Amino acid sequence: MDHARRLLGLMWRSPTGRVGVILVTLLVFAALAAPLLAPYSPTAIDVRHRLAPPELSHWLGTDQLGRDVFSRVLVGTRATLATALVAILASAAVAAMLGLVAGYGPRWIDALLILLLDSLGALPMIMLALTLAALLGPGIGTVLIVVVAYSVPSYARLVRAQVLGLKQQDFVLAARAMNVPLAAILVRHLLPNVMGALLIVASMDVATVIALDTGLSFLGLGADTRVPDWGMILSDGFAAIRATPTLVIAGAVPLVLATLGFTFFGESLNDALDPKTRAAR
Amino acid sequence: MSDPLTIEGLTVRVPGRGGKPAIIEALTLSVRPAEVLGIVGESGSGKTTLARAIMGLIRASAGRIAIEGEALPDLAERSFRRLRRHVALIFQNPAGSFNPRLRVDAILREALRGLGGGRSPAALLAMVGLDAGLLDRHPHALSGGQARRVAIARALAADPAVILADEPTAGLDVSAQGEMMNLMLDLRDARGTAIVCITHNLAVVRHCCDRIAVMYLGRIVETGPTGAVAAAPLHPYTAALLAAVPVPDPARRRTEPPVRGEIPSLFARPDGCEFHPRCPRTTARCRTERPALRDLGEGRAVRCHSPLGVAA
Amino acid sequence: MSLLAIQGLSVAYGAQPALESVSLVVARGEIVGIVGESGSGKSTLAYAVPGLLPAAARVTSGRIALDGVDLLGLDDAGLARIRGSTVAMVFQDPMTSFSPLVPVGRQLQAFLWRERVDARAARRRIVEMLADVGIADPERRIDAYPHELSGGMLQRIAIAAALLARPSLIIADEPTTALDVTTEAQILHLLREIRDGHGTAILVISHQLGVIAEICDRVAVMYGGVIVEEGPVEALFRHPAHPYTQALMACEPALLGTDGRRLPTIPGAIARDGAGCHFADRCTHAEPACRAGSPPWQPAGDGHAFLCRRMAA
Repeated sequence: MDHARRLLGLMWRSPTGRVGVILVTLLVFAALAAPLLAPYSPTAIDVRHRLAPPELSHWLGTDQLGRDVFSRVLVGTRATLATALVAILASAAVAAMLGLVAGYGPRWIDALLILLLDSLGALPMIMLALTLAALLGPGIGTVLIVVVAYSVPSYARLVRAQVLGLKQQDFVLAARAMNVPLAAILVRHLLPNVMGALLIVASMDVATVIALDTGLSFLGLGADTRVPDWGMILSDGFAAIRATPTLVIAGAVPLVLATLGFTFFGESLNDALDPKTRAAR
Repeated sequence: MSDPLTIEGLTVRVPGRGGKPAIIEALTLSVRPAEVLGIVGESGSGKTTLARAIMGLIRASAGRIAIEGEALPDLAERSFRRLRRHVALIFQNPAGSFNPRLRVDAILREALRGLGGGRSPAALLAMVGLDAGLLDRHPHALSGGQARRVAIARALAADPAVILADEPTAGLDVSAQGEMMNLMLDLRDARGTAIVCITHNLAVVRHCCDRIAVMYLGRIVETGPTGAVAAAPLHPYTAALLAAVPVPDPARRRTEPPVRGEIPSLFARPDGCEFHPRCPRTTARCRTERPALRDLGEGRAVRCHSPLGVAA
Repeated sequence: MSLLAIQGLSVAYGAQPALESVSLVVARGEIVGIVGESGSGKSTLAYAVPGLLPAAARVTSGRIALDGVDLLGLDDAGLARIRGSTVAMVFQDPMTSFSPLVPVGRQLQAFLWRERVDARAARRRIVEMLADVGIADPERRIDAYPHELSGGMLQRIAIAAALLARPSLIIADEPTTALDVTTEAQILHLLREIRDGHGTAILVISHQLGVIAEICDRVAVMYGGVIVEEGPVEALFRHPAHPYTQALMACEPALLGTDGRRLPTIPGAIARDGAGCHFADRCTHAEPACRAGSPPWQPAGDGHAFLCRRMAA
């Protein structure tokens, strides 16, 4: 835990790192405390007060159905971040497995996996999303599959590259010379030493995943419409744009903040973990 | 009592190329019980490859290995898993041979588990003169000397008959070199473990080893008892190596470097005797005919058409 | 006037002293060796001269005068002027002395930036210099990339690079440690030839007594950031006066026979706390007085002195 504390301390030193940490903390806090902080239920319809501009009782105004936008944004933060987190964890897990096997296994398995990963990476995401939505129906599952399909090829390649380098290192050879079983070599010697790189790439990817998820949701391919997320807020906002731009802004601003925040966070985390930049301080 | 390790006709090829060239070519070597054997070679001689091939970390394309006189059935991973209970390897950079995330205790336990050793990690540390308090440390918290000793302790996990030490003195100051070699000699005296010292440090080999084997371009070119070889080397390369060691005595400076040129690339192995382009005694036969390793009695063997001091 | 005069140089890394009041003189055309184990400060001394110490190092006192010029008072521009032209360095690992992306010939051309030579003249000079340092077929090698060349060849080229701007002093930091013993012999021979042919002074840093004995005229032995003995090479090797020098020579396997299996060692490790002789904790002759105050310089012969309370044997 003091490892984490030390990392945060390092990240705090740079201006972008500071912004990143603050934004991410705000977003995570908003996501966790959303039900407590939201002044209204995000789905409470009040047609009499539809399309109200921002005012004291509705900080960001209301949408076409009179729902409080601020509450929707807060609850949406929770939905969006949760989806992003699950998607990234799933991608990392799948990529780690594939990367380990490709990097450490026999050359034919490596060739086969590279072929599969490259093919997957060559698919345009929107096409994949639309196809899957048509086949499986829209929903959180589809979104997750699309995001995982998008992230896995590059993550797995990264893991594979790390493994290829690591497997020639003395400590891996030493483990083989001690008759350490294959599973133990993969899990105890290789995996922990690739997690670092994966973590960095994933943290810099959070922004992209959020944008992807929001975009899919904006297109109506996302989760069910009762639980709002930023994509839905955005798409509702576009529908009402002639009446008021507030809704679009309300949907876009958290997305921009999240993108900035997670990008800065990821980059300064990368610098903090990189032994070379660390040594220079 | 049979030799703890015998290697016959070991060939290791450059990976990824169909067939040639060889890094190690038909190498034959025995390690005698409880002996200290020095395998001497420069970079490009293949000595590190040899150590790794013996342990099965690099694939050999041909050869036979025998443990305690009993031949291994093949060169598959299964056979090497057996071999590793009798032969242990210490890497050139000991700290680098530890997983940086594991504590010393876990590192030693892993070896004990994999090789089926019966001792405790603390007992292994005691065998190399280290305190059990080090068990809780991570590799980066060990000093260079401590890391080396831990590496030796790990190698002792299965009480091997042979320890291969890859460049045990590299990067060490002269006093630390002495400590390292003395520790290994103590182990040989106490447990009868044979030590194979793979190095380019001739001065240390000359002093500490019972027997010496000289490698050039993946082949053994001379073997023999250290004293006899140092006093009267048979192969011109051995003589050049011995003469090239800088002596800490200004009165014995050399006016000419003892050998010219450099070790040729594996991809451009000379014909005939592979040392002939650099050898001061080359004859026509040397340029075309590859010499075989000849046994000259008294434990000495040499791969040369006209060895030094021997009538043709 | 001597070529290089270091007086009372003290360098520290933060609170940790690395050099304590070190003084050393190198005459023109002289080969001086600095021998010591790791942690002795020999590399710090070598890197201090051309101003190549890391940012964390602080020179706390002393002077370095090269050809009369006070090096410590120079700014970056001043240092850039003397580097290459007055003092050049050869580093330990030839593989990392060159950029892997550029052919060696072009890298050597960079050393000729001060002289306004056109490309063809530069190439000719480089080819000549490569031949001078014993590179066979220099016309072809000049266009080779570093990874295509062996360590021995690269170190020769590094020496050629050091010589291109005709410096008065070459500082060689462990020039042969990364090389095989047969190549080492050739490089040491080359360094001596360069001094004989060009009159270049050479400051050789090494932890190997054999290297020092092979080419040096004078030797300084360092321990714990201090020079503990200094003198002509024959005198120092024949009659080492300081207990540390004596212990070093006793450990040297090349000076021992082929029998007697155990190697002598120097027990203990470098400890640099406080007053008194730094070697006292590991010295077999130590007395209480040794730990009380700094030991004095004592003569041991002509131009030969050592830092110790004991009388020369």
